[in-house]
Amino acid sequence: MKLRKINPTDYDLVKQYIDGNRDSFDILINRHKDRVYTYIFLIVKNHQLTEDLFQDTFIKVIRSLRLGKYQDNGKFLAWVLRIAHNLIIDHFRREKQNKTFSKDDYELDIFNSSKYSDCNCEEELIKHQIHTDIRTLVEELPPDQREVVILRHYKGLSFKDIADQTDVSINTALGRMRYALINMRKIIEDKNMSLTL
Amino acid sequence: MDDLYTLQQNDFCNSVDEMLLLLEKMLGTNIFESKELYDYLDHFTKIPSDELLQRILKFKDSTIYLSLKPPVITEFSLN
Repeated sequence: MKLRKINPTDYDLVKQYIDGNRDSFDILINRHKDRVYTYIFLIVKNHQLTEDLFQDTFIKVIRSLRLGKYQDNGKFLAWVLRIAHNLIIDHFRREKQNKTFSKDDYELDIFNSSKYSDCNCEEELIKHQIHTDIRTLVEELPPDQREVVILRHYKGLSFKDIADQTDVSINTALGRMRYALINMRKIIEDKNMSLTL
Repeated sequence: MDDLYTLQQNDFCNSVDEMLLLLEKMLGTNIFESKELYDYLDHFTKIPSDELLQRILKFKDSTIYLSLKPPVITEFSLN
């Protein structure tokens, strides 16, 4: 394949980088940084965590390119997003493990397992109260926002189905959900409510 | 894309298990190369800080290429 000097493709830049032109990678990262960063942020919703995962993603990209692990099929961005996605999965797997197991003093504790980490009766009661409080919050929302929250979280519909059912675009449905969450948070703050175990 | 829309609501209702299920399900799809995803990302663009980019570029410049290693080592062994 012929490499283009003007408006190089991702393939051109990857090839140039592997051949020793380090500046080519700068162009690649600048070309795709916003989409990769946005993808991670939309899922994890935390800038610090997004920064960590974004950095890990590109370090993995650099290492893979140097080791010749990248097979170009014209889908460089898809490959990078998949790496980011896998790192997000790794993060949530770690988070899940940390919630269930502690490594206090690294001692073996037969009760320190997921089997015994289920909720006790007191937690169940608090949970029930929280669900009741949330339902009350939902009732205070404007009708269009309340409808989206109920369809999404109580009936389990996808946003596409909600959009179809309420005759609006997916973006409008998402927007209504966003405002619903903002409003609910505001009510929680105003009423000084506690909704955590 | 539906899975991504759902994931975006993670702070409200999804447990870590639900998040993982959705994320793993997405691995089996072609979402990463879909124009719909790219348009969506462009619509909600977030920009990484310059400091973060500099850290990555610094990493890129901090180590030598693996392809340079064999001749260098050969040279040493000859001496």
